[in-house]
Amino acid sequence: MLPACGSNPGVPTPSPSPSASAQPGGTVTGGYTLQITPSASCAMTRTPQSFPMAAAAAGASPHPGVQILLDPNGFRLEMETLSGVVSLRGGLGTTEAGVVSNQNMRVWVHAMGNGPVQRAGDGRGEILSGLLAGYLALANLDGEEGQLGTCSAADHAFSLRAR
Amino acid sequence: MSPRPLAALALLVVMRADLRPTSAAEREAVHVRASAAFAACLAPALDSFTRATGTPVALTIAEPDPAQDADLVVGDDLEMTRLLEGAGAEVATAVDLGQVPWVLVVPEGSPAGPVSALAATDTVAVLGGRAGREARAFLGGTSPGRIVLSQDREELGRARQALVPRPLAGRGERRPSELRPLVATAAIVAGSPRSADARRLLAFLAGPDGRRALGACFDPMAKSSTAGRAGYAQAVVDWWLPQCTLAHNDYNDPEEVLGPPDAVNLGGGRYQGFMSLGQGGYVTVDMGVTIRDVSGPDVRVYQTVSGAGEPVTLYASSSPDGPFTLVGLRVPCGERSQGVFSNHCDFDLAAGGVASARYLRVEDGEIYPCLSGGTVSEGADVDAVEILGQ
Repeated sequence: MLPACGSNPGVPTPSPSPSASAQPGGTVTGGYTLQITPSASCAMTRTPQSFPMAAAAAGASPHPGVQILLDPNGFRLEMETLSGVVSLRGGLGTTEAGVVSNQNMRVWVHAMGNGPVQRAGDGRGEILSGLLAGYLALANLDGEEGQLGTCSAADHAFSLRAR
Repeated sequence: MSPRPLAALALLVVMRADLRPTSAAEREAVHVRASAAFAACLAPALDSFTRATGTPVALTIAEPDPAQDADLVVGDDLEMTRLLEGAGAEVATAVDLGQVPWVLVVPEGSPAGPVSALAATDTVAVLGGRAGREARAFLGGTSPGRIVLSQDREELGRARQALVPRPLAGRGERRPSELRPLVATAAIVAGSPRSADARRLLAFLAGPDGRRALGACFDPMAKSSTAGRAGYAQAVVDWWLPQCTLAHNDYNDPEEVLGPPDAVNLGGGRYQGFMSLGQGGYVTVDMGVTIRDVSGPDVRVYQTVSGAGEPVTLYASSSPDGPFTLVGLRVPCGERSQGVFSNHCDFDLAAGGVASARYLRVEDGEIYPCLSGGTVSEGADVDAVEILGQ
């Protein structure tokens, strides 16, 4: 059976559990590091791929949203999320060109992210443990999409840590 | 892969010029751009067209998007979607020429087994580029070191083991694959300088002579099941589109997904009758009755436009407030629908372990960056949601 994705019409309840010590909530805004770790079911390196991102509130109707963009060059990697009281859920996507990670790998992603928002040290919200469901492909800097693996899975991991 | 003119066709153009010095010399070649999976199939039909009309054709083997100097493009949904929806090619001219299945090529007498088992002993060549994306995902459990990506027909044909569209298969035993067949859709490039000749060529390919020439290579399009229809979405209970999508897309009305499929092309790049889900947006609908998991597919989602197969994700619940259970993740939604403008994709509630449901959430599965979109219909375009087989 595939994982459940929701418990109310606005924001489905995320599957990952927050750590016992973290406080839920906080506004997701400002600078972040997005980290993606391929699912254990994928035959590709599981080295986390990270990206500098910038988040800002984006719209309130019909539900509040947060736009999270690669910083700079936001058009290369964009996450549009629906913001719940204590969670974020939304689509993370790249163009055909993919995007280069801090680890100097080229990454293609088309996936839905879903995770609990917890209060960071500075009071902002962050996601320490989220799930990413969808397509992920890796290559060397100049490699073709999927050169170092392609994988569709419902349980890639991601985090969005305040920086 | 860099575009590669097909040498045989270039030669053919010269030969035609020798045979018909007046007509061929005076006519500029129609430029066709086709992906590697289809180019070999097209060549005999283009030859027939030149013989019949005296109009030379130059074929470039490359992904159809960007079209560059092409007058006519031929590609699969994965390659054509953004070109058609971005008005780079004319949707109204889009014609499905046929489809080609994927085959697994192995040495004669190889033991039966999954591709992963074969890859344990030798590399597997796989079609690169956008057309090969689903095949590569299919091989997701295979070590990347065992997979060789290529769009070169000769290289793929030489491989001892390969997962390729049938026209690219080399020597060896060909085993069927469960992968979605590639659909060869042809369309006129917007603003083509040789539009008149390109339209003649397209009419030829879609006509009896063209079909005959293509028929040896392309399979006819599969006919979709129409049995057991039991109703359509009755009401919208929730929806969400990112603010970026609301600002850039023109088709934001969730009510458009209700009732039977009714999307239409109004011409001039305008449509009506669907909701574009943008980057990861969704619409949740009340089907009005409880859908039971029966044998075969239970739900059909109609997704526009012709030649575009943007994926969608489906969730189901017995309550409008959820919880919603995932039924199908990023399912390509481009199966052709008879008598309906929109394409479709089917879902089986059993895939999510769901026995029954009344509320369905349809979510964009394309998940393309909104800021890079460039069209007014970004994301999956949902026309209707139908209950099947009850």
